[in-house]
Amino acid sequence: MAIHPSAVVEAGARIHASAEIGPFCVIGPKVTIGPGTKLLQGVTITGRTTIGARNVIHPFCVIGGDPQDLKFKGEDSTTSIGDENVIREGVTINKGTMTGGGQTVIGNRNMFMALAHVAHDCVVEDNCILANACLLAGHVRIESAAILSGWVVVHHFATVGQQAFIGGASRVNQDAPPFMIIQGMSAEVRGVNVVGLKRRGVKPEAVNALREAYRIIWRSALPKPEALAEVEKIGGQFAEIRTLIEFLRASDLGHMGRRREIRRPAPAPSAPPPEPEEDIE
Amino acid sequence: MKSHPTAIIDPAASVADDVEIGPFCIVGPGVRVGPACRLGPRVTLQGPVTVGRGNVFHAHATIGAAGGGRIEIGEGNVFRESAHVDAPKTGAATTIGSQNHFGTWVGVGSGSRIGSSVRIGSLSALGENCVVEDRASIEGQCVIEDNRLIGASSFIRAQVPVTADVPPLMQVDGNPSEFRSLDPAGPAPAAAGGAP
Repeated sequence: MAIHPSAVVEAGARIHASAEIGPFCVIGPKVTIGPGTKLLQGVTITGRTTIGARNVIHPFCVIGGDPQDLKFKGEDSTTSIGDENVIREGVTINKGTMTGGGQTVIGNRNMFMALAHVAHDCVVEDNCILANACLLAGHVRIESAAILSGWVVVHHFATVGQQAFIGGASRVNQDAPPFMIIQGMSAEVRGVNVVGLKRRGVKPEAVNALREAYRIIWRSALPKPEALAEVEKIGGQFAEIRTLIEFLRASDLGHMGRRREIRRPAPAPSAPPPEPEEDIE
Repeated sequence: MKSHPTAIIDPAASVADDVEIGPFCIVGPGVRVGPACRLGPRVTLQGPVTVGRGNVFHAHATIGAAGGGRIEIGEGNVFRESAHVDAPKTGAATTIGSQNHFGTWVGVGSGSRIGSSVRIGSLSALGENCVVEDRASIEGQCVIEDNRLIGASSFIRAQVPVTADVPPLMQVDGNPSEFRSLDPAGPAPAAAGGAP
């Protein structure tokens, strides 16, 4: 185990023999760090945080810090990070809240570029990219292989679908459908993420079916239920089309275009009216 | 005072007995820290800085600068990771009221005056000599130009560049920014003018 002598590792921390802890790092007592993970200088890992294997965490990141949420009352919630993630300078990842499920989860092989922020109770699946200064508010889910360009803000309880591409400085207020390009101050679907789909080896027939689905759902006058039925009829043999339809129907079952709104805890009957914006990541 | 041995606390600083100071912090001469404050790892307090009771500074928060002007901070504020407050270049102090929340990487420009119960989201930047009145709410990635007034109980949506003063109780959105409505999430006008 290579721990620089200037690092502060509190008693109780579990660090694998092959992990490397750089100068001036601060590791809390409930932290577990897996094999081959490297912390460069000045990294802070706190809270009940588990970090898997072969991650690289760059200077001045703070992982497992308290949520920026008024409901948080000091509960012992968790942060879990998988394997082979790259977390660049100044990234902050907050732990969960008990009312939001109690855990913030990062999967495998993701890249978080400098200054990105992941709030409480978020889930980032695998192979995602969050470019510089992206902000995820609380309870957000980013599905596999989604790409968020620089300075993207995602509204709390929103979901970004798999292999979606969010254009730079967009504001994602509602669920962003899978396989699509989404962009804008109030982000809208702009087209199919053809480049991303090709890179991930999606068959040309499926890409063409997604193009047709885009035309029917977002560029025709058909009401949404009829449009989805039409897309299902002509492209239902493709897994990507079924995923897209399932995603859109689930979003409609939520509130304000966000499926995960159903996870928002109901206020107690005697409580004062809740603040609509529970946090302002 | 519970101070980590790697922290550097100037003998001329005045720190209350129950303050917790984390690893690698720097507390310069002329700094006064009130009771029940917590400083996380690598927090820097420099210059003539007065910090009231119960403030929490998370990792890398930076308040003031050596040789800078006066900064006054009230009670019960939370400064998240890498938030920074600039010392005034000339004249009046940079002042922060009480019970405010500053998100990660929030910057407060020199000479600005922040009221109380204000929330500022991550990566938002306030220019120099700004005034933010009580209960204003500013979401993430906003940019407030120098010398702007943000009225009491106003609400500024994410990523909005604020180029003009914002009246009390208004909601501001868009790029270029425009007034959208009375802030529907804010308090009723009758309540908004009262004491915090």
